[in-house]
Amino acid sequence: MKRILAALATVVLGFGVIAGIGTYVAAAKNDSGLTSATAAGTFTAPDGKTYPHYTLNMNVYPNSTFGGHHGAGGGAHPDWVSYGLAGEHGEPLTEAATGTNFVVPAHSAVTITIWQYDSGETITNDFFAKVRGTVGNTATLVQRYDTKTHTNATEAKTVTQIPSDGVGHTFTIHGLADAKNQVFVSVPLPMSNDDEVTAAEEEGGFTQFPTMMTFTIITGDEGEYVWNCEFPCGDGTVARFGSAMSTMSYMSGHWIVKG
Amino acid sequence: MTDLMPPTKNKWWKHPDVKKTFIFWLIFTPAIGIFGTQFHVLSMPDPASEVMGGVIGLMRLFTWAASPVAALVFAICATAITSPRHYGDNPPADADHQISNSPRANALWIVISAVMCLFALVVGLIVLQKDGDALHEAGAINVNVTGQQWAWNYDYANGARSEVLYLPVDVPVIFHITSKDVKHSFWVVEMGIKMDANPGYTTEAAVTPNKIGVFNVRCAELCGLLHAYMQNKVHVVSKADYEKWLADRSALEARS
Repeated sequence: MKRILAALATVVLGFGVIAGIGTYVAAAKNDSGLTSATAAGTFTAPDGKTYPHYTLNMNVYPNSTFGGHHGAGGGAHPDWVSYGLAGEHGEPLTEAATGTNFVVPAHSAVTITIWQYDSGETITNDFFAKVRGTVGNTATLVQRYDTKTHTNATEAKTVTQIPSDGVGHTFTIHGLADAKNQVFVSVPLPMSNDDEVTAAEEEGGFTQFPTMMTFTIITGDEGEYVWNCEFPCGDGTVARFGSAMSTMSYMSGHWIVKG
Repeated sequence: MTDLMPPTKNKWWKHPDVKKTFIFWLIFTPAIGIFGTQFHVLSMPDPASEVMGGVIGLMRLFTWAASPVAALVFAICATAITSPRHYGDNPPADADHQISNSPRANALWIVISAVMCLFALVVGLIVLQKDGDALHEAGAINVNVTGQQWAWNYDYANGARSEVLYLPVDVPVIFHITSKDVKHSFWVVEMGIKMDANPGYTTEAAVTPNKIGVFNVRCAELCGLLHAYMQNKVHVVSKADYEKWLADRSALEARS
């Protein structure tokens, strides 16, 4: 009897060790906290349906020196490319404690505006150069937005795709293929002017004229999905999906739809 | 130096521990076989292709074939746990086993292992080669599958592109699979198709879906941060619905 109990105790201890390691790893993950979408009245879709309306503003930076959820000076990896929360006119929110885990209501319209401060090049898979899954499968592009005067330096235009050789990053939401509606949204973000990005970086700042992309998506059933950039923009490891691309809260995060 | 009694000359199969192990083995073999096959039935999806039906049958067969081996291991463990132990000096006579090399036992073990491996190989190849049959079908449709951290996308011959896979029922389909970055594995769960997606190479797999419904595509190769989310759906629909979907997607893609 003593031996059987000892054998059982060994098994229980083994499970305990594994559970302890799992708990430690879960607690140690790089989580940037939750950011809720802002209520903004109602939205009428092209098919005439009306939805509660919410907004989210984000920036994409060529490095993490903006601070925000990474901490003052950019935290552990100030040189890593990163998404971050944006103000009403694309201004960096350097004090924002939360970052790239978004909470949005189910069956609502969410209008997302992304100011893209980074340069770019040819995307490896031109499937992601097209706007997919937004209302009308379109987005509104301002190629040069003046962040000082808060005006469009170039005319806003509706686009269904952008040239595949001028992509800065993408904002792509996808999720688990469970019994619920599958979510898939992908919006390419055009590159900013290369010379201006480089010049601004040398001065320790960001270009005055980022590109600005605005689009609206209709959320489905509640569930937890993820989003990430589908442009390989990390370091040279794992096909440029290393570093910032392989660490949550830089070029990826959760997309949480709540009922 | 311990004070051993002279070893007994009993035949090994008459030893009480061997008899006990044998009884455990007789109990454990059917128990593992029944539990294992029932467990597989619970954990494996309903098949949506002939190949998947064959895979499920294969798993059952292999589980039964492996259960005597697993049962022997468990039986020896059970014997060791439940047998009395001797502490201190003067162990009983039957504790002193003469260990000698037995060419006959070695040969028997090697032959049994080889036969079981050959059995698994041959039967497995017979079942799995069925998914290759569709590769030679003249009426098969072709779909290019591209894996990328951490999403799949599909390209059809008429220019349609999609993040969701649509297939007509009872029509053979050939997948041309590649990757844009690291190694992935294209796994259509309910159809029993799993093929590596390698950067710079195109691999092929084929299947004929035989059931209308919505099924799952997953990446089966650990590929990075969001590997667990590299999943999407495959919709198997009627031929007419498939043609309509294909035309709609092609028109959407052609829009500039």
